[in-house]
Amino acid sequence: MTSISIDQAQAKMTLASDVFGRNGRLLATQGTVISEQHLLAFRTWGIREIEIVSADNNETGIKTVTDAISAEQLKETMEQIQPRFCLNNLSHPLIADLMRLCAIRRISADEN
Amino acid sequence: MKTDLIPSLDRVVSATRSICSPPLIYNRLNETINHPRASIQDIARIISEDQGLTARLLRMANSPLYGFTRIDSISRAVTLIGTREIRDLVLALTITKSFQKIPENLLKLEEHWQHSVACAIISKNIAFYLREPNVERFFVAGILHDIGRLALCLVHPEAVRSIHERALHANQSLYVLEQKSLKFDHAKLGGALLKAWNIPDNISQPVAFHHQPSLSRSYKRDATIIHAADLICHSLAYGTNPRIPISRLDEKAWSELEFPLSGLETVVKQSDLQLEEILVAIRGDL
Repeated sequence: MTSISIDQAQAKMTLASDVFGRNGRLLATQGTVISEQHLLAFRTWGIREIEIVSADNNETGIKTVTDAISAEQLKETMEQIQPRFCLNNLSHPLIADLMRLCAIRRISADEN
Repeated sequence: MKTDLIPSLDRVVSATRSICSPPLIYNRLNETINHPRASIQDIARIISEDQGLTARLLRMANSPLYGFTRIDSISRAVTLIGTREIRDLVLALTITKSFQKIPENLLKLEEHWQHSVACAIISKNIAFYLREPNVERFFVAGILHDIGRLALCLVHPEAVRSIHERALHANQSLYVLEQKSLKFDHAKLGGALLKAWNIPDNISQPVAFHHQPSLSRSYKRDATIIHAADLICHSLAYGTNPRIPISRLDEKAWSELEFPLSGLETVVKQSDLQLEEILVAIRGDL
């Protein structure tokens, strides 16, 4: 059993425990093979983490977007977008995180 | 700009009110809600007279933003969402119509609308993440947060144009330049306009302080949520001009919000998923 964030969850994973909404409503039961609809419902109900049955392969084969982007590419794009954030303290955790998200978004938009 | 040419906040508010007013339906809903013997059916009947609005409200109530399933009538939507919340939602969905006369080259309503809806969704999701009660108000305040900018474009297009030009070169955010040349900014103006329209303080105050939430006395937390959502929208370029620098984060107010950064990506992803759907659901004749 592995606990993963909702962002790492993918369709066809199997739930290791029941998932409840914030008001206690049962959204899906243990053993359910989740679909895209489940994921949408989980997000809508503010679920942040779910427990899934571990797959055989290491770390359930989860690959996040950031893994696919090289550190160099990220650094380069962050430098490009830096002027937009010039009025802000770039070392503030929120600003740093927003710059990273903005860069990732730009890279994935370019790739598509 | 010469001092005698600077319009005062009150003047701009009254000039805006003489050109546009909240839609009639908002006032009718308000009267009905405040009437001691009015029922939910009375409220639903008023909304149902406008077919376009009815369809948009129903689509919205059935969207993932609310998480209800199969709401097939306005009276059911009113029951589940709440009478005041529906009234404010009606205002947010219909108000842009009053600003159609703004010249396209000054402000693109479509982009403004996209930014407003994105800010509304992100505000609501941040509030939801923080377990705030009654999160609907964040959606409405988010949609209305830049209404002062619309009012300024309508009443003083020339002032807006010159401030825009300067923002592109001065490396300053729009609201700071507005404060410098007008002595007030679009946030203050928006708050004052909503107040003049008798919109409740829990919406008008966060709008008024969305650039400087620390200055808000009674609605600091709400204002900070709108402030952060606005900043996120600008950073991720939802319907905004990418050439104008992003406004400064009010770091003090943000730290008081105690929003865990681990939640940022979740909020952004959740909002991304909802944005497209909500934009389609509430698309009307702007």
